[in-house]
Amino acid sequence: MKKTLTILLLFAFVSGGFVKDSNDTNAKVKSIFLYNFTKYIEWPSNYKKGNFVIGLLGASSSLAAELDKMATSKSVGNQKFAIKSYSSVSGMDVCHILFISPECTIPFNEITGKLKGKATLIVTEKPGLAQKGAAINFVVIDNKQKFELNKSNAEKYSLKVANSLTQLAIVVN
Amino acid sequence: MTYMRNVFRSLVMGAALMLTGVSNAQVEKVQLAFKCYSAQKLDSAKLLIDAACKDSSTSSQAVTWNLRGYIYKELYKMKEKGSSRSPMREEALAAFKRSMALDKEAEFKTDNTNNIRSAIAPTYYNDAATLLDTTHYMESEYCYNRFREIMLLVDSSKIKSKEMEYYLALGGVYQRLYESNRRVNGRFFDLSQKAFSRVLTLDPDNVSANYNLGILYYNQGATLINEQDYDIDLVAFEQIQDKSKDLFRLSRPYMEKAYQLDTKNESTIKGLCGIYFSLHETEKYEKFKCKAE
Repeated sequence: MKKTLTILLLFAFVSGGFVKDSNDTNAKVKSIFLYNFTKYIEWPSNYKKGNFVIGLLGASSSLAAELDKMATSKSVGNQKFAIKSYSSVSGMDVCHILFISPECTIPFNEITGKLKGKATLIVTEKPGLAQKGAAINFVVIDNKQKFELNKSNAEKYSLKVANSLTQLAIVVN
Repeated sequence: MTYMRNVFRSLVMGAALMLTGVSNAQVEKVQLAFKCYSAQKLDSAKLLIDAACKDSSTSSQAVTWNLRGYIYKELYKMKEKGSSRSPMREEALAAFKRSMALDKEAEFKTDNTNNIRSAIAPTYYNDAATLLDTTHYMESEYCYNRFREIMLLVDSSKIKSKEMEYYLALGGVYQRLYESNRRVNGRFFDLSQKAFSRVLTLDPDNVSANYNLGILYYNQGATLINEQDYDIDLVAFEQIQDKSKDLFRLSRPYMEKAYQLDTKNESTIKGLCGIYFSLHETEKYEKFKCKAE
């Protein structure tokens, strides 16, 4: 009897494990948002050729991995996704979307300076950055991922934002 | 030891039958059954005791049914051990119970009770444990419920700890069934939740039940997000995020309780990290991330 009880007890304690890929749901959430932004924003015609580049500055490896996964099954029109991680602005090429993570230590001005004249959707995740030049800034409200949209910041980079996106966003000016 | 016990039983049985005024012929039948039982001639013992139990003069004697219980118990061990629906085990149990009911002087009370509690009931529990897997869980539950019913007859004080052990393990099996195929096995989420909750009703401070319930809700919330296609409509995704957040919030108090009860458990710390991270509670996440490293 005692032997059997021990088996049951051991089984019970180890039974509950994490489901595969459960540790970073936030990366999946951000990937869904980033992919959806491509449906609501129009890039200039010269950006509709070649790969659709999502650049990451200081982003977590799990976000990069999640976007890589997304890139294998999705596209923007005829453009395939290319996910590129950067550690500095000097090495940055043309990006359709640039996600700057809160861990990125490069001054924001330096990044926007590098992107002048380019059609890049700047996406950040730090309070106040939508007012300082980012078109989209991820925020958390009531334990939920939301985003701020500064339409004029998007337009400064030659991007057209669909009105329907403003209805889903927290609009800032 | 067994020999001594049998001799003792023989004396008790003879005396009991004489005292109750049963005729010699009937006494002989029971005594013969006992001799066969003692000599391990169980099939012969069975025929004799079955006859004695049908005879009106011996069937009303507690000793007759007590012996029948012993004979069927041995037959079960010899022929049907490990069979979850063993008829012989049920016969043995019924015989000991009948003996108890007929035993006005409580002469066999301790013996009948001990047999039910220590010889019959544990075999049901062991069968329940052996069968507890993702294939045989229903049969396991049948055995556990029999064990429970039987123990309630003779010793309800031992139920609580066994109940907790069993339902913890059962909740784990349901959880595995659910996670093996969430779409098809959706009902196992509720069953797992009920099993762990049952343990917490008995002991709110049970670490494993708190942890497992926390994980169950957390995994459900995480899966809800992870199974979405990247091009899900953002309005629909808002609702998914709401449901997922509710599950993470549901998970949090159980995992926090598990942590309070065992602050060194790595799985619990990892669980809390995941929950705080998913709820974007950055400060708490950073605190537990450091502990996990």
